[in-house]
Amino acid sequence: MRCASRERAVYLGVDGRMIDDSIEARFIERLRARDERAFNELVKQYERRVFGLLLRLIGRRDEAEDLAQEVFVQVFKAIGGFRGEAKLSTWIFRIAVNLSKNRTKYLARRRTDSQDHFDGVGDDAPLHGAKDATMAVIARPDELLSGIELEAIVERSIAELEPEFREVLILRDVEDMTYEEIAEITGLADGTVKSRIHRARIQLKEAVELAIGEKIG
Amino acid sequence: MTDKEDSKTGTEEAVQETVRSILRRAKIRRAPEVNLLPGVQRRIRERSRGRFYGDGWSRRGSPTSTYIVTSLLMLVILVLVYFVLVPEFRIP
Repeated sequence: MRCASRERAVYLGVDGRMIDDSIEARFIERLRARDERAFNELVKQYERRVFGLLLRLIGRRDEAEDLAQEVFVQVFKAIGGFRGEAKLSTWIFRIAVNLSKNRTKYLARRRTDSQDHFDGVGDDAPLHGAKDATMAVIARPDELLSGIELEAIVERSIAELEPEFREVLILRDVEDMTYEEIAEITGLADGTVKSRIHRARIQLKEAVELAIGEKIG
Repeated sequence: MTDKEDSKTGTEEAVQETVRSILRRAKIRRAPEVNLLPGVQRRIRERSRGRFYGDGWSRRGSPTSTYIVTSLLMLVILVLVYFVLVPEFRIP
């Protein structure tokens, strides 16, 4: 996220830290030189976001953890070819998304149930509040369901989205990325990104409404 | 970023607001705790055949404590040598 009021380009990095262009450039130089300490810093800085993204894309903690490690190995291998056309974070997320696509296909071929992570969560969640609801439209779903119940329903609904919709929805509404960043990461045209995000939101809204048995909004 | 980008039509804006509200209430933004560094270092060490992360030092935190212990040990040895070699301090 650029902060236009400053002379030099400044970005908000992970954890909300300000990352100056020149600081990032120096950091990338250290990474290119295969500075192990710099790489340790990189892993610590991005591990949570990369893992969180992969967990939501794949739906299984063990696979997401394995793949997240692989993302950083690939980053270490390929950093010499990083030319700085995109932000470092965008480049890392692109690697993560590409690897997740391959892993999803591989898991599908192995007929692995990619929804294991969500199984047993939310199935029998008692929707006491929903039972007593008399409104046709729920303005605030959290008033009817506990946070845990709602979290389970939403996680399951996200997992049930088609992969191409799930991917853009997570990048936009969970990771707070811009359309331009999402287009760079996914390789899609801006217009396609926008339409997919809108369709993904509609699908998610409908899935959650179906799960709680009421209209939201 | 972006609220402008998202507000093309009233319907789209409403859907966006509803979905973001759902995600916020469900605390979906919460990133899970994870420690990937040891596994990443092991993979790189294995695949580079020990060229990277092979010395042990780079896999740990700063070796400051080792430097301090070594320095103190050397200091103690020097003091002992001084007391042994300088005649005024020898026990009669």
